[in-house]
Parts: sequence; C-alpha cells; structure tokens
Amino acid sequence: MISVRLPEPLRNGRPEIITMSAATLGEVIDNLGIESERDELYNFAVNGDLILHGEKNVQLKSGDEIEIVVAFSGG
Amino acid sequence: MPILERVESLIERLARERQFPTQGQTIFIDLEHHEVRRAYIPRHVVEAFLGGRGVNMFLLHNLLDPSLDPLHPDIPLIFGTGILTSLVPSAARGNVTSWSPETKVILDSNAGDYFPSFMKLNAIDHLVVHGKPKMWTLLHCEDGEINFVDAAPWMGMDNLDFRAAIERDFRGQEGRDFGLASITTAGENLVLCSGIMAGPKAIYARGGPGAKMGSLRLKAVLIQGRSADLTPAHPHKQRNREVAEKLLNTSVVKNALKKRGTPFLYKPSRMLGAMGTKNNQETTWTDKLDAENIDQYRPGMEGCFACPVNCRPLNDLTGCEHVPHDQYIKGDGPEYVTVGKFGPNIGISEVHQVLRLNNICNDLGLDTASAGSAIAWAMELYQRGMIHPDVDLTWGNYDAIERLLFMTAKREGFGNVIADSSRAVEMGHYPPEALDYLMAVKGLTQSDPHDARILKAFALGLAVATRGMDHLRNRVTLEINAKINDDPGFKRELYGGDVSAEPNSYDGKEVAVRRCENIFAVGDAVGMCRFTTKLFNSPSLPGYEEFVDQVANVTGIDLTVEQIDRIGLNIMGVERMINSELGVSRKDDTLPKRWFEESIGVGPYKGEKIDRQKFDDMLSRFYAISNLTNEGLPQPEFRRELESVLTS
Repeated sequence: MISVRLPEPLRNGRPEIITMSAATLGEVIDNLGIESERDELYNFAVNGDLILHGEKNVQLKSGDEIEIVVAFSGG
Repeated sequence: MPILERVESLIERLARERQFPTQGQTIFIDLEHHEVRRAYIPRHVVEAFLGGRGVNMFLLHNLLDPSLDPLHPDIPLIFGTGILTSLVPSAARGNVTSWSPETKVILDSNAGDYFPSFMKLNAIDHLVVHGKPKMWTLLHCEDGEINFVDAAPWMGMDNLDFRAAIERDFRGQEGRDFGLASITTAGENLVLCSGIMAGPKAIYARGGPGAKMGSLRLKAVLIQGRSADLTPAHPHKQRNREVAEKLLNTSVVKNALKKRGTPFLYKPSRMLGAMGTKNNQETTWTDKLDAENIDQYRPGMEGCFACPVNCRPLNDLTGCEHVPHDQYIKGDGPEYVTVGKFGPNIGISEVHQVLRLNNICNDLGLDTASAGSAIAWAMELYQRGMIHPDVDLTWGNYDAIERLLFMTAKREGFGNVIADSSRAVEMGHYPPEALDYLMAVKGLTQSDPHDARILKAFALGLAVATRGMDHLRNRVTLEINAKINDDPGFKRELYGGDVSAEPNSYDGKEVAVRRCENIFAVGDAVGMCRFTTKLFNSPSLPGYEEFVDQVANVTGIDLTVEQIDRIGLNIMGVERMINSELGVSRKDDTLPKRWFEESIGVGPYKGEKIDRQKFDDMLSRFYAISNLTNEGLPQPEFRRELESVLTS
C-alpha cells in the first residue's frame, strides 16, 4: 500500500491522507480521479522528491508516501 | 546636454492633442523651477511600445545623459501607467523607470495597489520628474493641476505614519480618494535598497527607486480625484467580464492566490532542494515556513484597484507571545519573496519572526529582495571571517537583523553598509574578494528566493533580464510543471518552439525565455499584473488575445497577436540599447560565480550546477532568436527600426 496526502482543494470529502495500491504514479492519478483539465496544476512528490517530468511512469513500491503540491513557482 | 534642453527637444517631437480615446498626458515636472510641461505620446510611439514600461523606456532613452551619475538631478524619474490600467480587471499596474543608483543599469520597477490607477483616473499616462528643489517637495495633482507643496511637515516619517498623515491632512482615503507614491526615511537618506511605497505594502522596489526619488528631494506624489474622461473607443465591459471569469476560473487563482497569496510557493522550492538558503550556500530549509503554517496569522486578503483576485495576504500577530505588541503587530504580506529572503536566506525559521520583519520592511520602505540579499551576503562574509561589523551577523540572529533594518534606513553603523546594497565593495566597505559571494547579476541581487541551478530556463532568464537578476522579467515558471513537461505538443504551442521536457536540460530553453520575456514586457506595457498574465503562473490566464481585444476596445488601436508580441521584443531591444550606453554587454548576461562552481547538495537534482559552456551556447542561441548581435545588442536592422521610432 502507498499513502497519498491530498491538499484541501482536492479532497472533495476525502480525508487528508488516503491509502491505495498502485504500481505507478499514473495509476494513482487515475485512482484519485484528478486526471483533469490541464489547468489543475499540481505536481507529485514521491517520498519527498518532486517529480517534474515523466510523471505517469514513475514506479512505486509499497510504503511509498506521495504528496500533491502546488506546481507554480512564480511570485 | 542639460535635462531642460533634452526635455525641450523631446517635447517638440511629441503630440499636442490626444492620439486616441482614454490617452492621458505625459507631464514633465521641473522640481527646481516649479515648471510643468504637458504633451501626448505620438501614436506611432504607442504602436511600437504601447505604454507603461514600454513608453517609459522611450522617454528614458531620450532624456538620459549617461555621462552623469544616477543620483544626479538631471537624471529623470519616470512614472508610467499601463495603457489598460484601471480599465481591465487585474490591470492595476504601472512602472517607475530611471537609471539605477543601486545597479548602474536601467531602473525599472513595477507596482500596483492604487497609485498607477489614480494616474490613469486623472488623465496622466506618464510623469517625468527631474531637478533638485531647495526644499523637499510633495507633488499634489488634483483635477489636472499640479501643486508644489512644501514637504517639511512630513519629513522623517516612515510609511505607516506618513500614509496616516496624508489621509488626515488631505481629508481622504487612499484607494478611494487618492493614490500615493512616497518615500520613507530610507529614501530620504538615499538608501540604495529602498523603494517607493505605493501602498501599505505595494512598492516600486527594485534598483533603488527610493534613493533616486530622494535625490530629487521628492517626498511624495499625491494624485487626488477622478477627473479623466476614460470613455473607450468601443464597448469593453463585456470583454472585461470574460477576462474576469477567465481569471477567477484558473486553478492558480482559485486554489492558491486567492486563498494564501504567493507564500504557497515556498513549499515546492523547498521540496525540490532549490530554496536559496544562507546566501545560497544551501538549498533547503524547514517546513515550518510552509504557507499552511502562516494560516493562523492571516485574517484576510486584500487586493489592488478593481482586481477580482485579492492575492495580498494580511497578517496579524495579536496573541503571539513571542512578539512585542507595537505598530508591527499587524501588516500586509508577506509575499513569497519576503518569506524566502527573510527566512532561509538569513537563517530564520520562525513564522512570527518573518512576519514581523516583513512588517518592519514595509514601514521602512525597504525592498525585501535587495535588503534581505544584502544582509545574507554580509552574513556569509561574517561567517567566513572576511568582515568584522559592529553587529553579530550569525545566521538566524533575529534581534540583530531587526536592529540592522532600522540602522539601514538611517545609514547608522553597519546599516550604512547594508544601505549601499550590492555596491558595498565599490564603496570600500568590503574587500574585492567579497564579490565572489554576491548573488547578483548586473548589480541586482536575486529577487525570487528560488535557487536556479536546476532550472535552466530560469537561470537563462535571470542572466539576460535587462534590469538584473529578477524573475519577474522572463521567468519560465511552467518548466516546473510535470503535466506540461509531459505534453510536448502543448508545450510547443505555448512557447512557439521545442523546449526540453527536462527541467535541468539546456535544450530549447531560450525559446521559452524569449516567449516569456515578450509577453511579460507587454503585460507591463498594458498594466496587467504578472501573477495573472499567461505563462507566469498558468497557461490559462489572459494573454495576447485578451490584450489585443481590449487595446482595440479601449484605444481604437488595432493590433494583431504577432504585432503585440513584437512590441514585447521592441521593449527588450530599447532596454538593451540603453544598457549598452551604460556599459552593459554580453559579459554581464551571466550568473553568480557560485552557480557555476558549486553543486546543489540535496534533493532529486543533487549535484546539479550550471555548466559554463552549455550556458554560453544557450545564451548565443537566445541572442540569435531575439534578433540580437553576439554582444546582446539589437541587430543593425532591428536597431534602425527602433531608432526610427525613438528619435523621429
């Protein structure tokens, strides 16, 4: 199992941390139902490391912790 | 040629009548002789540079005498408002332009809040001030009249007291009745990292505009009333509604800017291992400064004139046992830049300390990017035993930092060194070797606290930005976005060419920087906020299509998307021509030594730094697609085109 920490705007009634089985980050995105319009600009961090490209193909293993963080970086 | 002759010569070439509906005057003010001259920018100049930053550069090019010093009273200070400012949602911005006393290259700084809108609401598109009066002056503009008011009653006041005094003395409320641009004691004392305050927090920050305004003994410009005829050429409100809807439906606005403001950006930089820490010796810092930890101190959000976003967080430390309950218990901000510069960059990890320093800087009129960077630079030199100041500059020494800010505004003790900002070596405060640790380009310390050794488009942008090391001129922010990186077709469409999906690759990054530099320059010319301009925080925000439509509706000037993009290139071109006059060349389009020689030590891109040869090749490619020579100047044909507008 892997755990996913959801930011508030993406919870939609779900708890902050949810668990699921998934072999890739692409499966996590599908399971979460946030494969959405391009404007939903969130990045994923796996065990604290931000993924900046090749997102869907990132391989996961049991115990991995995923966090969804805002992707923008201009302020 | 003296400034009076330059102004005379220029006015002869300007128009005497409005060139389009909603156009305001360009007003030349001789502070020494209390003389006011008025003209209009000719239509062919507007079609080449639009307004705001673009026309400011036209004016500076014509009025600058590079044989003088930036603080000489013959060097003008130019306020400009965007061509759409106050007329389109989120277009509330304007620029101030001059020759920077902090960097000795162009000074061009952008602010919002209310002052630029009140310029427009009073039919003033550009305000050119020069000369040094015997007495400090407050310029009071009301219903088209300019009054020279003796500023003696307000001298020595900082931002909080001054704004309160003006509301009392002129019987009005800022934002509702007037707009105000003013300096603090730091500006009066010619502190090079001081800005011009345009609100409680809004500041024309970069390049030392506060010092430049102080050199003209100009305490403030107060613009009161709403007397302009702003009837547009064509109805524009329906398109405005669409622009507002587009803004408010964008994810970054809905989920981040409206809720927390820019501090949400701290976390991704920290997690990437790219948060400038201890003068960029390190690149990650505590999660205690993540935006959600500021939530408890944020009572609400504020916004600029007629902007539906409201992205400016307020703060209130009432009840926090660690801070004195004085005038700094509440304030505006912080922005992400301030969190970074007064957090990790100087070794501070407590939210309440960052908020208090933010509130103090707002009152003292200090640019948090330059002041924070100057302190971080001093701290590293202290750490290395290269300097021996009268202040304990140990990383994270909060009490010393707070005291140092007040000393800086007054140029007292070691504050006099911080007040000289990036010029501390030139001024004889530090040994020449200290320059090895200065995180600056073209004399301007970095604005965004993000360490750009990983992101190569960001790095190139910082190197080529005409005003120095500042992200707001051309940052390819979306290179950090995985969904866009993983969609090459969409990315090609966004930037107009192939750009590598890998953030740390050099391939094609020049294409993205070129596209961003153009649209951001156009944004500054129309008066649109950077945060809500396409490509800065989202690919879905208003961009050229909306700008072209509203320029046509508001002014009657029809432009194509290609033409307005060319205006962005024109603005960059004239800025490079001015910088060339000031001695800038290819050697100055570079990065701090540390980024070439020291690697990132943490995170998924551990080991990353800037490769000199690959950077140089990328720079050459950038020049080539920017219609620039190998020295970074407009190609001869491009230069002739620009000169025909600048001098005709």
